[in-house]
Amino acid sequence: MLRLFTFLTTLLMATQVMAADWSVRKEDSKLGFFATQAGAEFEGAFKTFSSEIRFDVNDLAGSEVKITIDIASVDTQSADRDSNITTQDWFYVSEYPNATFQTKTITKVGEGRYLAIADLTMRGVTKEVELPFTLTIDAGVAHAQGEVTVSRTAFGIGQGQWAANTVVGDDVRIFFDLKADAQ
Amino acid sequence: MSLRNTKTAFGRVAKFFHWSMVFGFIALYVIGFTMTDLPIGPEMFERIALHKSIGIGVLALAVVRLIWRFSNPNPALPDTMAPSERWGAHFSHIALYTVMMVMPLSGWAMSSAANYPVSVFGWFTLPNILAPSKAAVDFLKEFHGLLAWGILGLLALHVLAALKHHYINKDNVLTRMLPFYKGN
Ligand code: HEM
Ligand code: HEM
Repeated sequence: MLRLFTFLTTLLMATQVMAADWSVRKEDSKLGFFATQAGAEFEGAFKTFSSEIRFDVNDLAGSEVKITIDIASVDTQSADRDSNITTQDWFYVSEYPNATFQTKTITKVGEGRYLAIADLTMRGVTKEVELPFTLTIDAGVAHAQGEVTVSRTAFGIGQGQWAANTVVGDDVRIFFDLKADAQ
Repeated sequence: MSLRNTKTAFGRVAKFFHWSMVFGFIALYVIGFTMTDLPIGPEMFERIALHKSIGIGVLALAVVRLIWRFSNPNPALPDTMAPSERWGAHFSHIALYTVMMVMPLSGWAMSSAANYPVSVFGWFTLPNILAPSKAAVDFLKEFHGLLAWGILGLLALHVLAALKHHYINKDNVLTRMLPFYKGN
């Protein structure tokens, strides 16, 4: 009986380590971007996003991150700009309400440093991106930070008169700073 | 004409400051009153960016100009002027120096509150001086727009006074500020 019990608890703990699912702490996390307008960089954030994270430092092949961003939750501290961003010329939210980020591989590149190859989909266009990030796990809380620069026009964000980079720069730095609890 | 002012004449530097400020203000009003009528698009943003850059230029010029003003003698006003006229001239000049700084600062604060950081001609970006706030943007927009008209009134007085000195008093107050005038 005792044996069976030990066996079961070991099994339980083992599956827990293998599954390693994480749930993001919304209040301590930030997913945002830096874009340039008329030569000056400004910061914006997406208030609402959901995530499915399966991550284990000892099992990177089995690790996977999927983030779905609600574009309409964009906040650049300017109501005019926020409502503009959701229009057809920009994110076309009525047609493409979400952006998604889905990892394909995650590799370790150094102590606490990783590289994710992922598919980023925005405004219906999918591009592969390479996202370096750092990760520390402390007492069951993971802290991940990373940044990737993308070309907004490659995703068709900014159509017609906005496709030129004279006023809104092409490079957009997307960043995240996430805290997650082990499930 | 020397670089520095004397007790009787403005030097080249003071004249340069005065007249570049005149061109700066003309440009700011022309762009300011037309830019917001444009449809939302890159051209509108370019005009606004130009307005901001020139406005910050005016602010910088105003600071340097004031330093120069206080490290130079200032030409005396004609003895023929009544004390009330002297005070009028003095206070209107103080008011002009004040608005040269308050006006651009209100624009900078407005841009900051709207989280549209100001890039000066694309050379560098200014830090935001106010935290983002819709209420502050609305207030500063109103303030900037009203002060624009207030300054126009002040400038009308200023220019009329200069013309009165020239055509009615027939003194040298206008001509001593003219850039290439040799007659004084
Ligand atoms: C002495 C300097 C300045 C003058 C004389 C000036 C003048 C003006 C005028 C006449 C307008 C149009 C107002 C209206 O349509 O009611 C305006 C609007 C504006 N100015 Fe300035 N300006 C100055 C500096 C600045 C600076 C430094 C900035 C920003 C850094 C700035 C930002 C703006 C903005 C954003 C608007 C548009 C406000 C709106 O949406 O109605 N200005 N300015
Ligand atoms: C065509 C337009 C203008 C004319 C004809 C004009 C004329 C003059 C003249 C003749 C003086 C010399 C006063 C004296 O001898 O004591 C003067 C001084 C001054 N002007 Fe103007 N002005 C014009 C526009 C402006 C503008 C746009 C500004 C600023 C926004 C300005 C700001 C000043 C200031 C601050 C002084 C005092 C200089 C000092 O004694 O420190 N003026 N102006």
